[in-house]
Amino acid sequence: MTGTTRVFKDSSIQTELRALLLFASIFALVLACVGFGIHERTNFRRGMVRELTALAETLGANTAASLTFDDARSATEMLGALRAEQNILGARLFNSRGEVFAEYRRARLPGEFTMPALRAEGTYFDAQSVALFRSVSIDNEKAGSIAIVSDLSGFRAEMWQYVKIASLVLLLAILATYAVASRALRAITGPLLQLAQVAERVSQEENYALRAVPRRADEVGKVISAFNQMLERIQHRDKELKNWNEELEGRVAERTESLRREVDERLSAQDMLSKERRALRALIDNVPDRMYVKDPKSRFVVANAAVARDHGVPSYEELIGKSDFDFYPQQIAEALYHGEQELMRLKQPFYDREVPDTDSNGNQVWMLDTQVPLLNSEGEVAGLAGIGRDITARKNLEIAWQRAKEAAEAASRAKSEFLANMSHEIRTPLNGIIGMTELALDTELTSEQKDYLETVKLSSDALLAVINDILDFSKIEAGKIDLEEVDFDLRECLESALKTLAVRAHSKNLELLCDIAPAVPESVKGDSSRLRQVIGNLIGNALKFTEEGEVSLKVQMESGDAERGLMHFVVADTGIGIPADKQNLIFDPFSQADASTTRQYGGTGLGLTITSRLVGMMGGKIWVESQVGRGSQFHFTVRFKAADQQPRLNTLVPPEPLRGVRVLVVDDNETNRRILDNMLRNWGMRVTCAIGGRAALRELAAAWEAADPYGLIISDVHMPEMDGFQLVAHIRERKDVTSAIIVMLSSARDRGDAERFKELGVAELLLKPIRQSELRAAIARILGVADLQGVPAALAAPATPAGAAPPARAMRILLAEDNAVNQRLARRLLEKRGHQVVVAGNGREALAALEQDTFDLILMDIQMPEMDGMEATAKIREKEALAGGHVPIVALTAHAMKGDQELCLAAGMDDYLSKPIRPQELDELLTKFGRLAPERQVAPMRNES
Amino acid sequence: MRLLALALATTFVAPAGLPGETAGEYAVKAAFLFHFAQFVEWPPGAFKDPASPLTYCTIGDDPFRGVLEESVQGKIVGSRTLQVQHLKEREQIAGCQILFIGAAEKKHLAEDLSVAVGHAVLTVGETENFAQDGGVIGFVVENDKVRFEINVDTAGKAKLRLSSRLLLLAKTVIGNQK
Repeated sequence: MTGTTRVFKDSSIQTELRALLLFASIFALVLACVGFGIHERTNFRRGMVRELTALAETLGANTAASLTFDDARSATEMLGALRAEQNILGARLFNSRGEVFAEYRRARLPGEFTMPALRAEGTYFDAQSVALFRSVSIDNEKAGSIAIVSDLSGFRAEMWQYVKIASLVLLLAILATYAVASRALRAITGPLLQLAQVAERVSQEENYALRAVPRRADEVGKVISAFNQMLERIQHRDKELKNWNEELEGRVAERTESLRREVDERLSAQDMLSKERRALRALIDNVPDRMYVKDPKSRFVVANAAVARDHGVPSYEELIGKSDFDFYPQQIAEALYHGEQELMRLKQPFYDREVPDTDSNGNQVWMLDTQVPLLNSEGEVAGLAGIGRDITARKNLEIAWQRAKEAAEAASRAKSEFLANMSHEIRTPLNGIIGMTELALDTELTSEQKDYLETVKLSSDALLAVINDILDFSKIEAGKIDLEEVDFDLRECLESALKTLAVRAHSKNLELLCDIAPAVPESVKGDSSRLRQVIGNLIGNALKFTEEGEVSLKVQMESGDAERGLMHFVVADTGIGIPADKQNLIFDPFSQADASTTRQYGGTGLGLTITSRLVGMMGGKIWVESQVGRGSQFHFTVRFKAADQQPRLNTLVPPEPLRGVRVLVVDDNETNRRILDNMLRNWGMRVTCAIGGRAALRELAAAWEAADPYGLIISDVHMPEMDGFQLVAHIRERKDVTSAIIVMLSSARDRGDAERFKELGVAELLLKPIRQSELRAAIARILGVADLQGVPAALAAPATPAGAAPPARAMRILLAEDNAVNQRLARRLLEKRGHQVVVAGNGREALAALEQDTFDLILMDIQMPEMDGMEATAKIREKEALAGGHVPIVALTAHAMKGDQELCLAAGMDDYLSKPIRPQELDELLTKFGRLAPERQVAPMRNES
Repeated sequence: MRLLALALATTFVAPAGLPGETAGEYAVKAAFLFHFAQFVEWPPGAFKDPASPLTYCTIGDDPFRGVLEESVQGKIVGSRTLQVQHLKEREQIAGCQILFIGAAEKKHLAEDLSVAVGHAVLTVGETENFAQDGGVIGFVVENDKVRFEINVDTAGKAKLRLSSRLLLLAKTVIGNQK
């Protein structure tokens, strides 16, 4: 059946069904035919048998008597009657003994026919004939048997007929079935075929948009609709797939590309790796240092040629797998091994360990060893790596160097001591000279004496300056300078620096100007005295090298960072300038722009050096821009820290009454005009500038006529063509022109000037360079406006030479100073200022004095015999700790070296003065401590009473 | 053919041990006698009752010498048993159904037949012209074969009906056959 099924599988359904139908109908028909055939046959046979039986019976009956009476003849005759039947082939009559009694044979017999032998009663069919055997009996007694044999031709003819008919019918049936089936099937297979065609087309063309034609909703119809649905899905999926495909292809391409690149990279990496390997091997083998890697059991894994050499083996390969035990004596090897094991166990590397050793000749050598444990990716120890270098030479060098260093340090210490001593030794007598000279100048002198003494003073001042410079420079070079970090008023500091030089400027007829930008903070934290020193040096140089014109100081803030502001100072002059090739040299020590300059202008050549060092220490830079014959601009930047307090925040706030007031600024100097213009504009005033007296007068007239007169006139004193006095005189003459308030600015304060201006009705005479606060305060004063809080009274008083105004309060001062000259000097200075002075020669005497009396201030020299200032101060403070009270102690020190100030303050001093004592500084100090001292009448001293 | 001859031969030699042809002849006749009963119908009154046996009689000398008894022994004809009587007296003929008159009885033949006439007795003889002479069946030996002649008139007078089949086998049929 499987064979048939396979055959059927491959042929079309139509054929299948047709074949099936045909097969079915043929089968049915054949079955029917066969059935009927068999039926026919059986019937026929039965008929035949019946016939024969009848015949046999008849004949039997007839021949029974013959048999009985043994009458063969009659029997034969009777049998002969069978002739009539064409089919009967023969008959035999057997007697009771089974012997043939009578027989009949047909005329024409088939060849192989034989007369039957006696058999049992019955019908026997064979291929050609049928033989019937029956018993013949008389009166129920068997007389014999009769056998009749008939041929089957009739039967066969019938059967043949039957077959013919049946075949015909079968054929017709087949044809009919075929035709009908084909017709009928088409109705079923038609749509299926169509479906199949569509499916084929879909597959071939890969066109999923095709659809089968739907038909009625029978099974095939369902298939068709399901098919269509499926196609729908497929179409959709197909689209998706295509998209995915493209994406995948893209990715695959990418991946392939990247893989290819990777492979390339790998190959080249490998290449590089082997190159690197070779290079590394070359490296480590050529490096003179020992390089090695050991495994966790301290056996060599990697070693370079140097290691091999040191171990006395021909190549590093001999070392692999061996350990120190193979090369060193047991004890040493054990120690080394133990060390390495510890290192690996604790994962504790050591770097650059200097290990002493002896070489084969017994000489001391030094090795610089490094060993690090090697960790694998899990952090476990996988061995160690080591480097060893022969540093014997270096070590020797080191030792030599160390010795040299110690020698140098000793030298440096000696130098410092020298400086300290020198500082003291030089300054002390010089102090005496200067002081005494000043004192002498204060006395009654002839003009000749005065002349001489002034020369002496100048000389000693100069000498002091030189010595200070040199000592300063030495200190700086020795690095023994420290900068203070104290809050100070920047403008005050600059002001004081300038004021000391204002006289010099005035004497050379040079304008000295100051322009501080409003953004510059009031207070900063830094070293004011050093700043003053720098400014003093630069301005001093500017004044020195300028014959005419002006010297100006400009300050502004750089780089928006106001926290740690970078302050930019410019000292500009209209002097001789500096040639380009010398501009760098001037900051070098002992050099000046021109060797001749030394002689023409004097100076040690150290000033700028010191200045540049100081600027550097203050965190800034210094540089110069200059043109020969036009002038120079010295720039420097300083980074000050912000002051802890910012008092006086309202410097910049203009006073209300000034707003909108017209002010006329008269000054021949453009810079000055600019400075004032800025200042006044900031206050909201309406500023007009005039370059000289005549222009000023014209302006005034014009304003008067325009009914917008000036409220304030600020004028310079020293101007060409018409100076300040003349201008004021003119203004006063034409009083109708203006009723403005007049303020004069002068670069020098000559005693007579103030009075003259007062007579002319000038409200104020202010000294240049003028500070904003000063000007404002002055104006406020003039306008009758109360001073703004925090603004101090203008320091109208310039720096004056010795012979100062009396102090605010008289104090009782204890002076502890061993040096007689300095004693006298200080005493004179103090007494001149109206204070009471008690002198002690050393610390002990000072303490004794304190026992007996109370003082407002103690001036304590540091270096004194028996008990120095520090000790004394300490003792005083101890006493005060118990008894209470606090007397200000000011140290008098000739040193001013690094650390000295801290020491003084630490010891309990409140302040210090450096020697030689400058009166100005002394005044400041006295003022400071004078304010603190209680008001008192100068009572007579106890020891005097 | 050989078989046929053999079969025929054995037919004649049939009873084992019988001496010569004569013995065989009487065996055949005895057999015929038995078989005649099968082809003959007696009228109803011939038997006393349905169960009474069919009697074969011989009169005078018994030529069969027991062979007749042998040939009818145990057989049944038409549900009647068969018996054989050897009559000494003619008067006993009435009790027989079949009477065989042997050749030895030739002298008395007419008397025998006359006695039998009034009764339904099938008379069988072997003398020449037996049937013509008023017997029913007369044996004739011809070519070593035992044949017989039948007188249907006599049979009719004896109220015996004889099967046509028997008649067909007769050598000669005397009388009118209806």
